Amino acid sequence: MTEWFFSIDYIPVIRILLMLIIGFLLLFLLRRYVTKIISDYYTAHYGMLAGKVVYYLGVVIILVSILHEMGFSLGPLLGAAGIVGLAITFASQTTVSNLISGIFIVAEKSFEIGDIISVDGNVGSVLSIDSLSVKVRMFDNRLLRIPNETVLKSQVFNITRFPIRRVEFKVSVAYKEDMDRVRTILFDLADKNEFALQEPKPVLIFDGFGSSSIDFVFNVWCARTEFLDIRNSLYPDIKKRFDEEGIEIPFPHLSLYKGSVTEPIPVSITQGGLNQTKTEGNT
Amino acid sequence: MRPSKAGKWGTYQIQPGKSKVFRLEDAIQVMFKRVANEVWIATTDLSKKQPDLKPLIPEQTETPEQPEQGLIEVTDEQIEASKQKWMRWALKSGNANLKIVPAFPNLPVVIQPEYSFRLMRGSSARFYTRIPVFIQVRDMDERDLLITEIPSHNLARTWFGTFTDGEICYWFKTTARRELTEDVYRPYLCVCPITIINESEEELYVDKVSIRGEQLTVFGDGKSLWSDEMTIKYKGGKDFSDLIVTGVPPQEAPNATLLNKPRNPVNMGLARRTFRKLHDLHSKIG
Repeated sequence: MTEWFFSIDYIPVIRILLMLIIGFLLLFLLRRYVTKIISDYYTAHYGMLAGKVVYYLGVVIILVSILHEMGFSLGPLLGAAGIVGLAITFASQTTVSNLISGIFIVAEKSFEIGDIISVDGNVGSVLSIDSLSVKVRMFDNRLLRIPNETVLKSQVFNITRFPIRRVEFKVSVAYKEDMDRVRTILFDLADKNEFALQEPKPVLIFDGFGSSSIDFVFNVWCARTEFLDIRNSLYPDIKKRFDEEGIEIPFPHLSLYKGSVTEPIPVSITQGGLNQTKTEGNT
Repeated sequence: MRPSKAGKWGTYQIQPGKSKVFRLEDAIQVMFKRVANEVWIATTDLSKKQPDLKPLIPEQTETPEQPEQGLIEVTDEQIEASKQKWMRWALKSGNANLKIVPAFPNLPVVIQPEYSFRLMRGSSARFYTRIPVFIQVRDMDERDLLITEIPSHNLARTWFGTFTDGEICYWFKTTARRELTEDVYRPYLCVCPITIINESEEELYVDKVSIRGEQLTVFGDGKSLWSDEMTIKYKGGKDFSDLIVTGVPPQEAPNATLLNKPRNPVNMGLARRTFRKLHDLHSKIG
């Protein structure tokens, strides 16, 4: 045993260990450096991609060097790797599909790290685009992992792709209201709202005669980062101003009938507590 | 000692325990308070004319005998009664030597003249527009370190560009005056003389002009704030317009003194897309 221990040539072993330690140490440093530089000059998305390219290239170089040090010839190894790779490919179709989908996702650039996307109704901020999946931070701080293949097959909305965004406000007023007055008030509110952009100009679209109201869609543009601010400020502004101007925001009314040709059952509402409804007539 | 042509703008020291107020007409007042090595700053938007937001000092009128004062001391009781939301800065030197200067807004300003106009090919027009300034507070003991900047006027914002590419700008509706009259001068508005030359082979319809304040200098002559002379040469089509900024006071205020340098000095001959012809974006919404 002792003889065997002393008969081993330790020089190649030490070399391999040094290659592993120093190689991976340098690789991690290089990866971090490249990621930072590219992120600073371009975007975090490209930084991450460049870092990955550097890392995987480095791993291949280190492994090839170690195998060479161990005395393996690369030719037969590559041949064997091809056969093994083929076998693995058949055995792991989903994984390979995700890998290839990942390449298409990156190449297509539909979204990047930091973008807010909606996939199958799930909305969140893209944390990373990895080899097998896209990681998304949901707004309630859950992590959503979406396989690349799913992303490629799904309808993906990139909410923050463009710098400005249109916000739809659904507004209903009673039939008795003057539509021109409503229009003037809404445009005035948009003009005074600090988050609403002057251009593209707001647009008021007549949406139809509802069951108890005239319905409008009021489209106002804002910076993409102020989507929630404008929603949370303009709706209260509309309510407050309509109250001040005496414009009625209707709610559905229900008429009760008895039989087919009778008058509606008269109902009167009086001030007071829970027993405020008094009915009259034949009930 | 601040130069006389600077008006209210200049360098002031705030002594420990003292409170001072800087007021620009009925637009804004800025309150300063010194607590140990900290400077406390609060602002009141006077344009809203809310009863609980009254000016703490009267608006001054400068006379040859009585030069206009910038920061006016107020009592602690006045300051406390105004119930401000203070922002605090701890200064390195603790001397509170503050420089208060006007600056152009930190975003481009899209000016929409009250009445749009057309420039026939080969013609030129000189007009004046006014842009509300920001109030910059700098620490003189730290090589003019910017402490904060406060808009003197709440500017609306707009989008200048296409739906997919462009930039957020401030929006200011004003008259593009062809002549200057006394009523245009306001202490919070900087008068910008612009000459537009239509060098294209087509008629130029001007309904909006984007002014990049970051490249403009602010001058003062005691009566008004002035930007440097701007000349825009329109080349036509999709070509960029040339913007030429002289860097000297305009001919209307030859003796004006420099109050603040540009945020980003312009590269001479830098092409800027300055005009926007009638492309009503909402028509593309459909």
